[in-house]
Amino acid sequence: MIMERYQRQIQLEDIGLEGQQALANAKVLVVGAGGLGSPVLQYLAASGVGFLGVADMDTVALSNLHRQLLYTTADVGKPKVQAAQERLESLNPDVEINVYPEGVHTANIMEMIAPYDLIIDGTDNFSARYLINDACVKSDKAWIYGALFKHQGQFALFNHRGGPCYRCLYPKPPAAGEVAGCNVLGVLGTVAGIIGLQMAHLALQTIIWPEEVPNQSVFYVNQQNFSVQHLKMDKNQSLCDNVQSDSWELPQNNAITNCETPPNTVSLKEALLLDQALFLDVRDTEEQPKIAAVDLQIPVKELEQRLKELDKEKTYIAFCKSGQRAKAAATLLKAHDFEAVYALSASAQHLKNAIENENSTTNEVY
Amino acid sequence: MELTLKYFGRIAELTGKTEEIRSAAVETVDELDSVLRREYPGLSMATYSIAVDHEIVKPSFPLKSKVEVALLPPFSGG
Repeated sequence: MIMERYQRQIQLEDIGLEGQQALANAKVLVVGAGGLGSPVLQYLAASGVGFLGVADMDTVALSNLHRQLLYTTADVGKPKVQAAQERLESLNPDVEINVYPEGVHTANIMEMIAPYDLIIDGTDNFSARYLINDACVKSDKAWIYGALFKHQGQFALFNHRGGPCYRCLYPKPPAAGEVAGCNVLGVLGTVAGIIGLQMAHLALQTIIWPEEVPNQSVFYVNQQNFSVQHLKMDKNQSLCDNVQSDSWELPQNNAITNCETPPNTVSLKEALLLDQALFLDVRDTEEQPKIAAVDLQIPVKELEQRLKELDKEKTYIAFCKSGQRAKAAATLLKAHDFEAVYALSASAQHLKNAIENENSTTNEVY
Repeated sequence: MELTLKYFGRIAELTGKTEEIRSAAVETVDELDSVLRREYPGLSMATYSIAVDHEIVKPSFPLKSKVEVALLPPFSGG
């Protein structure tokens, strides 16, 4: 290891060679290499954390790049773990990188986390987060939590030196569809970066100053007014003991990127055959094309506040531009006890064409 | 008693505000929570923790006038 690389941090009197050695010996697993995991990995690799694990089953998408600066345009379509490994190895060859393209599941998590000292949650869903929490409590490992909601974020260090765990803050996961993520709500790259860097900093503190790092705190950040709320929290000892016991089973998580029950998706042909179904446009009001024959328009982000405008007895087919927001809307309505809700897989443009050509016999390719 | 209420994340969207000062005839966090759930029906489906003066507390926690109460939902995005 050439120390010149780390000279500016070794110069800090409370880090020195001893702190740098602690970083070089540290083994950190980052689960989810997205908006939060990407800055965490970049900064931990650059600062000389010796062993980094990266678990993610996604591929790099163009819509990732505004906030996931670990990847470049040329990486689009590549497995994230592969692109991450290449980039991190060129950033700092001192670091040993292990990748897990299968992601984290109920069946592999205990074995995967075993070699690591610290686990970092960069996932975007509750089933993965509760799985990480419970596995870390059972394995007596510290983990760092971070999550985003629009211009706000949260982060905390859990299960460190007898401190509380995520369940001490939120004992049970919210209902499916109750809390949406960035893919639905959107996020600015800087907000993901700020929370990711807070998590990376918490990781450095945990490695270098394990006795001084805040282990009974959760932080709420609001970038709209640049505020940080530092909240103290206590351990719920009986809850943690329960999770630790053999009778407590790990929660099911078979697909890390999707915690929610998939909504019923329908093709355009199926949608047009559904009896008495109402079309629900969940796009923003300014989006084109407008469809005159559509029954209702409620943008997905307003849907929860405007549930009263809908009738649980009726059948709804949500649609948007790509089908993603339609799925989110259908999931949310299902969570609010709407039984007959479908997400249209086709785009608004296709729907418009189909409605306008309803009486024509041409064979459209949907 | 007079309380300062702060709403985070999705809770601010369900209540339509990020902060309010209100008088309420309540003694515990739980009682305040019931008052808020009546006033903002969206809260009944929501998950959140409650902090009093920057400390996460249990429902039975006794309230005093002038404290700051924060409703903190979990976030999901990553």
